[in-house]
Amino acid sequence: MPQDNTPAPSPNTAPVTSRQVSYNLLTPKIKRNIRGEIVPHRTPPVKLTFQDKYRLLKNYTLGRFLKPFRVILPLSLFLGSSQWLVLQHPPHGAGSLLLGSLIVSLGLMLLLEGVRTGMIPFGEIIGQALPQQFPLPLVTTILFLFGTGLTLFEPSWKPLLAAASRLPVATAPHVTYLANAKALWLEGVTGVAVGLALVFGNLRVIHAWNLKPVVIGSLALALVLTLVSWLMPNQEGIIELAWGIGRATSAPIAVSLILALGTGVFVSVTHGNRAGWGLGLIGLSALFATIGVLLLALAVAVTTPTQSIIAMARETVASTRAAQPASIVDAMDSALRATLPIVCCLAIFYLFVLKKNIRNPGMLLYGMALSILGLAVFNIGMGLGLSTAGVEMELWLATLSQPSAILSAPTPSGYLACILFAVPLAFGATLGEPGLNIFGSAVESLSNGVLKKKRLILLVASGAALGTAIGVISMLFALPFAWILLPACLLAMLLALLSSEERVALAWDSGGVTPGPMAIPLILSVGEGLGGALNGPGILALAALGSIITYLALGFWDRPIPGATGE
Amino acid sequence: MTRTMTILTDVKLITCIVQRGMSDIIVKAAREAGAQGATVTYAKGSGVRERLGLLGVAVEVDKEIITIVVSSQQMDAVFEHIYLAGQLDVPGMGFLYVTPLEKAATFIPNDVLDKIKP
Repeated sequence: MPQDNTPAPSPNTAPVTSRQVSYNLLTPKIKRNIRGEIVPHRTPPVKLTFQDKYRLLKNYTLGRFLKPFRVILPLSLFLGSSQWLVLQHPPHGAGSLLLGSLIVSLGLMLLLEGVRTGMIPFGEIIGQALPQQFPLPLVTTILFLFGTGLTLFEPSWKPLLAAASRLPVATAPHVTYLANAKALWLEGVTGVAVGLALVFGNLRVIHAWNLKPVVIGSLALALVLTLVSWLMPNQEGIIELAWGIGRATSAPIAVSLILALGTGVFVSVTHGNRAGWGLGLIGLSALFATIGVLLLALAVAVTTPTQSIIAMARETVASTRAAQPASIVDAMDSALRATLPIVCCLAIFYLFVLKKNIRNPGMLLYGMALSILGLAVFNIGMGLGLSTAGVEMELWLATLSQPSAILSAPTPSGYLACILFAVPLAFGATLGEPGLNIFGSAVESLSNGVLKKKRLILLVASGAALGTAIGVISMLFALPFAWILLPACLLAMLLALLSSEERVALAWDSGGVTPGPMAIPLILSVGEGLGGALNGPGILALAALGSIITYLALGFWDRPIPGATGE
Repeated sequence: MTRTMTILTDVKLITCIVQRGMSDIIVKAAREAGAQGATVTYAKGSGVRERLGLLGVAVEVDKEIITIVVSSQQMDAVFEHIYLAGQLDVPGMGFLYVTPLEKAATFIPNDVLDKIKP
């Protein structure tokens, strides 16, 4: 029987009493059948009291909510208060900004939890099963279709396209032409590029090729194409668009699936090269997308004369609609558009291929439903608060940096204010980036806790802030984007050459996830407010490159990554 | 030159299994109660989660195992402090136990040893 064991007299009485119970009294009595064999015991469900249920759910939700909230709230407050400072009156909709940050945090909580319990396990199962159950050509076809579909239905890079399509024809004829008349081509090329990246990245894992040569090779190709595009006439904005799209392709749910696919394939193939845990797919997707867009732009420039491009761009621009703030229906719609095709695709996998591999379908379904809901809630919150504030910020940033009614001339203090504003904004927005949070958790668990999520996110966010600062400076002084981009790429290439395989994979992947749905609208607004719509996407690319360079550079002072082959 | 090995007696091993991400709280609590070190490993596990039905989603499958070596005198205080900090009285939060250890050895600074000499 339970016996009360009043605590032995101690100097200070503890805030807890204890009693001893023999475990024998709690464990089930085993029954044997006639042959003396043990009858398998079935554990009955546990009945919880209301209080226990409450405490269980409180522990489950509160921590998961507070974590993003502690990042989002300061960001919103910062945005609101700096707006107040500049405009000298409280920002419009301060209340909706606060409400928005609450909703965004809620959305992030649901999304992250859903991805963790649904998307990542499912992606891993697919990744593990594919190479085992199918011949290689079929695997590559499936991967290609998967990557292409994933990107085509991804709404997160659409704002970039929308912004590009609204550019004045006179300043950037090629960009407006591409974004309007050739929008389908642009989307198609990006999709195909991501599909190819998935195929290539997974073949790399299956055949144990090294990642470094692939990254450095494609970076070199992108560099050459950038240089060519820069030197050609009438190509204003193409570089920015290409690098910006490359950065923006992978949004949270796609990131989680691509990531899990890679690690799943990695687990299923056993060979000598264990470096990198199958990472690198996201970074490759971004690079391939950039190359794809650059190639498309070059092809268009070579085949179509500029005069007709300008004419055609004029015709199509008028028909495109202006960007609208997201309503609840829009948010739900875009969340469904982003996930439904994926879910259908996954369901087909499940029904025809993997049924036997899945042990806990209920949990996976719960996770997937949660990620869709989370993405929708996140979008609603962004539309309510941060995106809208971002659009307003675009306007007042322009007044801060350019001669205007408020400031008679651009002053050094105005420049400084712009930089001082952009840096914390980029930092905070990156901290809250859902894709980066997913990536960080995945890396932490892949490395058995050695590579801490917090540290990775801090490093990447500082890098993004650095890149944004450099981008802002270049815009304030009206330096050509290529002057900054080309040296930054060369530096990234050099660092990649010197770093270990794992670190390159980690750096490029985190650079691939960084400007996501959280940071894109904000950083894009900074860029467009300061440098005009032409320069917006460029600053996204610089933020990502900043993260990559920072991560690689600091890696030289860091501990070697466990399981590393080259360190 | 021969090296001296200091063998510790009166040592106990406290092992605590909690949901992934909770180890920081446990290690902090253990340190507050005087523990001098902790080892964290990642693991997966099952327990009450499978018996909670729908509520099982609130319990994480991924776990962290924290092992802490304590002196027999500290044992109860560390045990209690971990229990409270980790909210182990909430379903699914974790599991805590103590194992007796035969002996232990590690680096112990000389001045610390000098102080305790009779």
